Amino acid sequence: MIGSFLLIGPLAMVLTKTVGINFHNISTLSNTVLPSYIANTLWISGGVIVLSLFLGVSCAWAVTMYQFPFRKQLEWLLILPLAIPSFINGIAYAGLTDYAGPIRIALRATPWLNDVYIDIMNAWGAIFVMSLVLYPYVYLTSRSAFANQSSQLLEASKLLGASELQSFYKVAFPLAWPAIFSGLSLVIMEVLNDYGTVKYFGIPTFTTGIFKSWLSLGDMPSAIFLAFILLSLVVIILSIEWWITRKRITSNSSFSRRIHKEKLVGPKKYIVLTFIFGVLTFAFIVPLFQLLWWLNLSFHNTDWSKFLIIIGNTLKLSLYSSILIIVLGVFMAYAFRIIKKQKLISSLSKLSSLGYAMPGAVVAIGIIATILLINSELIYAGIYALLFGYTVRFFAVGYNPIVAGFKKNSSSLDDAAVTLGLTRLGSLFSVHLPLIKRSLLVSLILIFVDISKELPITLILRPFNFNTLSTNAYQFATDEMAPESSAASLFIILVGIIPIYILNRSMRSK
Amino acid sequence: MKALSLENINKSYGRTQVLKNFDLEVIGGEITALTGESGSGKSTILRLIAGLEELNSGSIKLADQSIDQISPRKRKIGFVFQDLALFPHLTVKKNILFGFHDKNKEERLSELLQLTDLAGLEKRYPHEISGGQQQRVALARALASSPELLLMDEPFSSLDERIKSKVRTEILAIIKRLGITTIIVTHHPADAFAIADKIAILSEGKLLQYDSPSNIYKHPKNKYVSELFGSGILIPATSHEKLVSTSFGQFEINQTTLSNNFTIFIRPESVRIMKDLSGDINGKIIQKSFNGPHDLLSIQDEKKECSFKFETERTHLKVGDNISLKLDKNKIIVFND
Repeated sequence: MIGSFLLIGPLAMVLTKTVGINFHNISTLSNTVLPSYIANTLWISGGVIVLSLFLGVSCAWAVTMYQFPFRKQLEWLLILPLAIPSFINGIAYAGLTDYAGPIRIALRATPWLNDVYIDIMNAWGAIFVMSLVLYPYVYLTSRSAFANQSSQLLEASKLLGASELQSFYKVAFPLAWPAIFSGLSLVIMEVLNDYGTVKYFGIPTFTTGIFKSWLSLGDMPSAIFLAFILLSLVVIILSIEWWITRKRITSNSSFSRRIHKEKLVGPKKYIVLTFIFGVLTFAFIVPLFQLLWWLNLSFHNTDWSKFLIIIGNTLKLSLYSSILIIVLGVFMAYAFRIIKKQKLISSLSKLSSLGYAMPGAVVAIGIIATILLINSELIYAGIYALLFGYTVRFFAVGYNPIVAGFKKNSSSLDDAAVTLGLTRLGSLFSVHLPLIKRSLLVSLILIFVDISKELPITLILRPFNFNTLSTNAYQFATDEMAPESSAASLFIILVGIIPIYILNRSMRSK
Repeated sequence: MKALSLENINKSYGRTQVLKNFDLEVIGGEITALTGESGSGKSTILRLIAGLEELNSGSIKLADQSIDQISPRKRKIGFVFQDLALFPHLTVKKNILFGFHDKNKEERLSELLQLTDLAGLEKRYPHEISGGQQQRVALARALASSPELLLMDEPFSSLDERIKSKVRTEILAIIKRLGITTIIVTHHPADAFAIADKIAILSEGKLLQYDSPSNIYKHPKNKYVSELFGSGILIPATSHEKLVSTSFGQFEINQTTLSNNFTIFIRPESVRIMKDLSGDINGKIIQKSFNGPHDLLSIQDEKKECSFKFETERTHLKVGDNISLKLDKNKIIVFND
């Protein structure tokens, strides 16, 4: 229980500090930057929702309902863009379209197009680059929802006269909507969490506002107020998700047939293949090649020994945070297993996992506010604050595999251990931990990948001159040295593919 | 009048041939039950008729018109699925009217609700009504567009035994009232007996017998069919002219057999237990088990080489007793091996 309260501490701090903010601060913010923060955040979120919904659902429908060449390979390749953090995608696309980029060079060389200039550094561009790497959340949840639907429902709709399109929007989509929305809510949370893309593209949003208020102006009350609004937005989304999934209706049928995939022929086959290859090209291949090209350009200028230090920093932080999360997670999961009070366990587990839904900037501001209570002369937060921030933010990432691991151990194992004379703690170390080794390893990998990609918390809480892979990539890009950011970016993408592989395998086995 | 005909149907899934040169003619207004063991191709026939599967060869005609090239949504066939396939996100009303696009929707809805005794439930969702009511919603939905043919795939299998008989009677009454040509797939012979005007028995993709329930009971075409519908005595035999020899004794029959080795079959109601061992066949009771209103006796020959089961009314006979059975020779059926 203490663990749970520790984990929600920073969020509680944002809430309590908001109560103390004077009206003057709110009024100043409302008259100046707040309208643009609200407008941009809502506009970008709305745009990403629409585009990632379209890309995710249509790709999921295609791979679930149709048989076409390379379907099996494309089915998992479509998840790969998830390995690219949106700010890295933003940097890559900005490089592609800027004056010295290949697109602009090609346009200049074409006589009737030499005046055309593609400006991606705006809200439209942010929507585009974010959707390309976030649609896999929707793709994964809708793919699994479509695949689990009873094929008899679609057959019934067909026999009752509905066309394929009507069957989709009258039957398949409404039934899959709760699952699709849970993917969509992850997309929205990622958009609200984003700092790198919007900052790089120069679009003022809530996260850039929090950064500006605290890091540039030292204005804690404003940062707290903005964090509170962002927190409220997340709570609203979580509530909507809860409300939608609460009403989830499934057709639990023991007679369900597997969906029979229609073999595509003729123009329909080429349209579907072109669409899916197009999505994959823009979302993964294009940015990857841009980064590889930059790596080629900057290879000799890169200080590899410094780069190794950065990898070391990331590894160290990941390892320390993982140990912290895993120790806390193991004890919490085991305590909840022993207590056997299901309602309490489920509430505390949900509370402890809330940090994952919260934007990094909100978590960071909550921690800063907590530290300021202890030390009002704070100059920088330091490594412990950073570890605490990661623990709050990524606790759920490490905790869920641990809980899943514990669930596989039958309760008779505990009883057997007790009758054989082991204490509860002895049973944890001699029986459970050896059995959940694999889950602990999965936790470690997932936390490492998330920390490698994490930007807002690291930027706010890191000690001076301390870099991780993501801050390194971001720093070079903002310093107009985009090619030098490629090594860190490619490394992040490379390690990001590991959890995708794990995720895909676990979804397949389910 | 012929309502549906399946001509020389072949269907394979990969290398597995599910239906082999299958023919069937269904008379208008009749209820036909398709029955047979799992994997015999029953459900595949329904899916082919509905257009949910493609034929490898052969032809399907509805009212003498080929429907092979017509898409499933235009075939005017009602289908009740095994799991009912009610749309869980739609109310009873929306489920029923899903495929009905004429103007008089409310009128049609009220007709169907009345017919299926669902009035008052139209605003409920499928998970808010009972299994029997769900069954009737599925039927109402399939009937909404007045189909020419109704197909039902194991419609009662999701119901528990307690309410199955009641729901079966209700559904049957509705179908009979409408007089719609219906094909029902079931793997329960008892269901087939209870509901069908005609029964088609399938095995390994072939039609074994297609006849009325009483003809199938009285004149099963082979051992498999005889065992599927009701109990009976099956004994291996040989013959010399009209004299039949079994390991339980010899007796004369009124028909000539086609082969030397064959099996005789007789229903229990055509057999009498003789007190004085003056019957046609004799044996010893080696097992007796309680079977509700009947006793089930296992009877063995003298050489202990052969045995058969015999269902009789409650009897005082016990294990170890010798028994003699008198057979009604006119009711003996011969299955050539």
